[in-house]
Amino acid sequence: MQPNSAPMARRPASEVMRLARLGSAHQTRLSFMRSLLRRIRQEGWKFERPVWQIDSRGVGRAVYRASGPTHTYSLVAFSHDLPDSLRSDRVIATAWDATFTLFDGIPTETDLERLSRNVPRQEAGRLSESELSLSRANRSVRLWDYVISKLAGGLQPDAAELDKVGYLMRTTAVYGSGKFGACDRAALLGRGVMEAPFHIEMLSVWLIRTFTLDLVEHMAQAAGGTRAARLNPALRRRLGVGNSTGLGMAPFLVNHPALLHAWIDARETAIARVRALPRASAEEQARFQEMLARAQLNAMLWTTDHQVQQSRCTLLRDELGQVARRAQLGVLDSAYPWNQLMLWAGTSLSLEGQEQVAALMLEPYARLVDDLATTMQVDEQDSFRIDGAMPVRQLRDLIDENYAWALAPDYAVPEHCARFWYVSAEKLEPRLGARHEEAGAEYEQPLDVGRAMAALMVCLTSWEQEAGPILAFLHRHPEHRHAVRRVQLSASRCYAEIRDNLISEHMLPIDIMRCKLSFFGATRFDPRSDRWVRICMFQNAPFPHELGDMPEDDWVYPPMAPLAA
Amino acid sequence: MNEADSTTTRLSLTEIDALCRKAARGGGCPWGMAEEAGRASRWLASHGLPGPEALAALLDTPRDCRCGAATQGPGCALNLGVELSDAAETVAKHGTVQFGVVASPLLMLAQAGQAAQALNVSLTLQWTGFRATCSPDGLWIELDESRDTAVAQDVVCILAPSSGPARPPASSSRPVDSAALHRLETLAARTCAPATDASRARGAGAANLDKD
Repeated sequence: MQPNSAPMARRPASEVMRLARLGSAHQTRLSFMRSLLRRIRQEGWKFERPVWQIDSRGVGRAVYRASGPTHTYSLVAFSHDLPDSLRSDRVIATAWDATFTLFDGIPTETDLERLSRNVPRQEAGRLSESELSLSRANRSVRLWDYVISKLAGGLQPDAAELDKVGYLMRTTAVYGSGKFGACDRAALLGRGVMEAPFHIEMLSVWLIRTFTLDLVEHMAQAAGGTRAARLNPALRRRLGVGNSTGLGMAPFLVNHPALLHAWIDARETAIARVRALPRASAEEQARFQEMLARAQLNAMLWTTDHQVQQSRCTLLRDELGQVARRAQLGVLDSAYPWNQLMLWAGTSLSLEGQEQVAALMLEPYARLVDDLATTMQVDEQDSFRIDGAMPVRQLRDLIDENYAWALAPDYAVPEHCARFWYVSAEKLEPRLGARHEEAGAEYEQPLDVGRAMAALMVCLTSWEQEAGPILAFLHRHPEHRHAVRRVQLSASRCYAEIRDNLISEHMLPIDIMRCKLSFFGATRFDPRSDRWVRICMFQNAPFPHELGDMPEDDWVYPPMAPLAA
Repeated sequence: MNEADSTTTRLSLTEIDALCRKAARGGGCPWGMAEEAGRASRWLASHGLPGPEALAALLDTPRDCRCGAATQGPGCALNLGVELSDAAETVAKHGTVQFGVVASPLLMLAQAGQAAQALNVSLTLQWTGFRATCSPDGLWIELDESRDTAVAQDVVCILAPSSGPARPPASSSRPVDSAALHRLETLAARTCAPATDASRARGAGAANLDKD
């Protein structure tokens, strides 16, 4: 009798943590948008819209209430009349079409008044411990006016027009975790689903999506009166929330190595569990084939003006066709079919294709992998303290083991130290400087992990007491404390570091952003340059009022079926 | 609640950590030490203690700081704090370590607390007019007359057989004194590059219009 499963190693960090592969990441069953909607559906959350005070120009306020088994959360939305000239997605903007906060509980009229004086000002305002997130959004002017004019005339908008943009509004920042006086993550312990990373932010965005649809229908009604139509439910679901993400997101993964490890480790463990399956049942194969076909449709719909991503998409479409042919030829009937598929992909497909296949083969296995979503949060206090008793020799061995990639480049060569990460005084925006062309390298942030490790190693090599404890070294060299902490943290967390030079001339910040956005659950990444990227969130997802009636967690790849009313 | 008190501003623990890290960096600490400053201030605030205020005072006190130029004056609580934490196993073995004259000694309590947690022991930190014990269960302050002293003459860390009625961290925010906050923000601002048209043009999304 065959065992149910054989142990299968996770992919090594030397393969997984290279920037090019992280920059090819795809969403999986463990992504936060999906785990959020699964959990709140399973828990039977209730949704209401207790406040809707919006005038015919679309100006006013609204409240959306989400009630779970233990806590209630309220999205408070402020809708503004923004002149076109002020509409900017950059973090340095000071006005937006709509501004939001997720309130912990049910806000009183006094709360709403206080929030109305602060939330529209965003970073310039101040929140309290009752608020969990702060965000803002701008309209897609083209689609906004088009949808209103159609609906006001009693007509439905054209699906193809909706698909060209994919959203009515795009968020330009979603802040959580104690920013601007908001509730600290420490206070969310014991909150069930809301303890998980970025679930507060994802809930905010999901409710914002509902607000954007309600607002566009409201304004169409105001314009068209009794003639006005409401948007067909299937067309409605085609619209998500856009998101513009810039450099600000990139340092996060470097500054939270224990968290990065937890995310990648969960995903790699899921992949390893599926690879260890000795066979795939007919039902599991059918599910994979269905999701593969929907992923092919997704790849067809994936458009971008970014030339590198364009050619990657073209290749992905071809490669998914190859996967489909192999599946039709019976590769999934072989022993250890998913492992076979991964091994073949590893030698035959691009990184984009390999990561898509890895994500797709998790789809039939909810019961095998979904529990891993609860392992993706960490207490960062646990990995902070330095073990001063560790012998210097052991620390050096750990550097050799986990940072060979860091020791390889010669950082004196300009191309290997061409960039520096810094923070601008202007709204504290993270930026990337050109070291040999710009002033300001004295403001460099510690994102030069590779170079710092190389410098640490040089210093350690000349340290004579290699059997002695690292604390004596740190006493003399406090400038290496940051790097020593990272080495010790990585010792038991192999996926904690991006294993590439983040100050190289060739480094692409969008790779870091894509990695993070894939864990949020984004698809169809649309880079607008090498330092910012557009995505669309919750496209095709159920709305709150229909969540319980729709199949569980079956929305992230677009539906194959023709539109039903 | 002194929320409405205009001489304080309530900051979340995350904000305290970030602000104090940047302020220490702006005040001359290497990044790894600045991280310790942020974490120590956060730990103190989570226990209802004036961590940011202690750090602001420390950064303005001439002290024996290996990270900066001054080599005379009282010991630096950040430096001695990390020494205490790094050598906690030794402290636990030998029972008593004398730190002598220390500026803003309250900051050292955070390191004692983190070490006690990690080693699963109880550590007492004391100086004239102050005595507190950190255990894995939390913090027990026995005497706090000179808690906020600028310089203590006789700081000692002792392995304690057990703790009294320890309290776990209970706060996720803290009102920070306005003068200290202003000082920390001024120091933190030194870590940021002044915005210029050139750097603005290199920011994310620059030169892209958002017309769609």
